[in-house]
Amino acid sequence: MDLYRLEWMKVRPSVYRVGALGIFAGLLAMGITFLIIGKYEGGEEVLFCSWNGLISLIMALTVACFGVFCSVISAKVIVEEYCGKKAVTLFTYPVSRRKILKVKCRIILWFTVSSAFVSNISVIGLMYITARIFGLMPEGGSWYLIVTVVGASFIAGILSFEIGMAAAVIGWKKRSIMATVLSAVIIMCFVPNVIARFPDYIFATVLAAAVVFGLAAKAMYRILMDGIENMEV
Amino acid sequence: MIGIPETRKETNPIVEVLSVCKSYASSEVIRNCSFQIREGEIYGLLGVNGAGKTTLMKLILGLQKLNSGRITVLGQEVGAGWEYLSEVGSMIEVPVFYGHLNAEEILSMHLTLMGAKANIADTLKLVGLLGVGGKPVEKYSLGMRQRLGLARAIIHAPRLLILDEPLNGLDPLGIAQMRELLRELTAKGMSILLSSHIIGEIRHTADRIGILSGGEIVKEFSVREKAEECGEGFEDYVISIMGRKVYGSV
Ligand SMILES: Nc1ncnc2c1ncn2[C@@H]1O[C@H](COP(=O)(O)OP(=O)(O)OP(=O)(O)O)[C@@H](O)[C@H]1O
Ligand SMILES: [Mg+2]
Repeated sequence: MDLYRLEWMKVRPSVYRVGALGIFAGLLAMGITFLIIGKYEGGEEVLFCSWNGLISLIMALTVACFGVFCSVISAKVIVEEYCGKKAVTLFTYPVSRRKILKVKCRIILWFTVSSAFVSNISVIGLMYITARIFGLMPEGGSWYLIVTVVGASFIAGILSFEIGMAAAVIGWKKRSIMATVLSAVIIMCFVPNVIARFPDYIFATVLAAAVVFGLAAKAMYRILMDGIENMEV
Repeated sequence: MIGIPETRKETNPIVEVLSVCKSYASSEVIRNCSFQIREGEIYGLLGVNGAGKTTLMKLILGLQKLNSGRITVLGQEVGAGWEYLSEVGSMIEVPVFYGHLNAEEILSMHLTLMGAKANIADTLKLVGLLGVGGKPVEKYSLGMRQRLGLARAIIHAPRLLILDEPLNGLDPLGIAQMRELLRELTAKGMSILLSSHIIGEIRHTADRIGILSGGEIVKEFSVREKAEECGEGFEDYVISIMGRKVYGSV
């Protein structure tokens, strides 16, 4: 427990909380805009006219934003710490390097998944309320849709984490914070496209992407673990 | 407070470096290097820039891997586990901290990781930092950081203290205080490995000096004996040995 507290102390959590709130506000603004576009310009734009379409779009944007967000946290917590002078101090403690890295990854996992999940659910929830109040959408939601949104939001959080971690490993290999964030941005150029492409199968699409990226991230995590275990500073 | 229990005393050397070699890429930095640090002594490592002082200290801390040879610290072979690190304090080159934290937070974090308990205010007083309050470390001056680095190195009462150029950035008063502090620590049984390229400083601080040149300890002597023997010529004598393998005859 102490190790978690210590790792948490090392970052400035308020900065990341503000970052997550900023992403949430941006996504909400976009969501409402989509609703309005769907209402007044709809017809051709299938994505904006059904809940499935809107949800998959918001989900794709959430993964994109929180994936990059996760890569920024990882750049700070992993890349900067292990590639900079701080590693000299960190490695002079009688604590296994693997254990510390695991703690770092779990903190990033927890922070990314929880913020992506809460943000996604809130954005979609607030969009739904707005649509009802102003009569922006002809159809209502169903229980099935609610369960899908909750489940897919959680998986979307995991997917964001996996993408952020993969980017962190690339950044660590290149010894660069810039490379970390850039890798996440490059991955984000195609993953959200895939998610938004299958609006009728939101859950399945997000899950499939999470499994594929999960396998890739796991392999990369191993490389990171072994690399840090044998790293010379 | 900082203190070494009497029962911990032992006759074996605290650090034993045996025929150690270390290369970076194609260049061999440490070559067949051997020396020992005894309990309660201050061992001064002298060498020109790039002689390999920092590298040697990193090898002892397990931060770098040996190409060949053996290093034993407090009875444990380096590379065979991290346990000995709980009894080692170190400050390598310029100490770095998490800038947004204050001295107390940094030291308490350090104690947790070392699995030790100590009075933080006492240690801050010892290094002349009492009263810095909640000021974040990013607002510290160079000398204040150096002092905090030293506090971090000694607070968990290590048996071995490794200090790489600890006088960097200290004012004359700080240097005098540091010298006195190191003396107090060794009086309590701590052993210290100290590196510098300032001969005058190390002469007044160390008990024994090892001169690192061409990757090995080319000369080792007791400071008191050599100072008596050479008198005014002490510095010239040391310089002539320090540069011999690097710059040819000086
Ligand atoms: N990570 C590294 N990769 C490659 N070469 C290195 C590395 N670290 C040190 N060296 C080289 O090893 C040699 C010894 O370096 P080291 O830092 O140990 O010297 P030093 O005695 O501490 O010097 P100074 O008095 O300037 O601090 C130098 O030639 C340096 O260029
Ligand atoms: Mg050095």
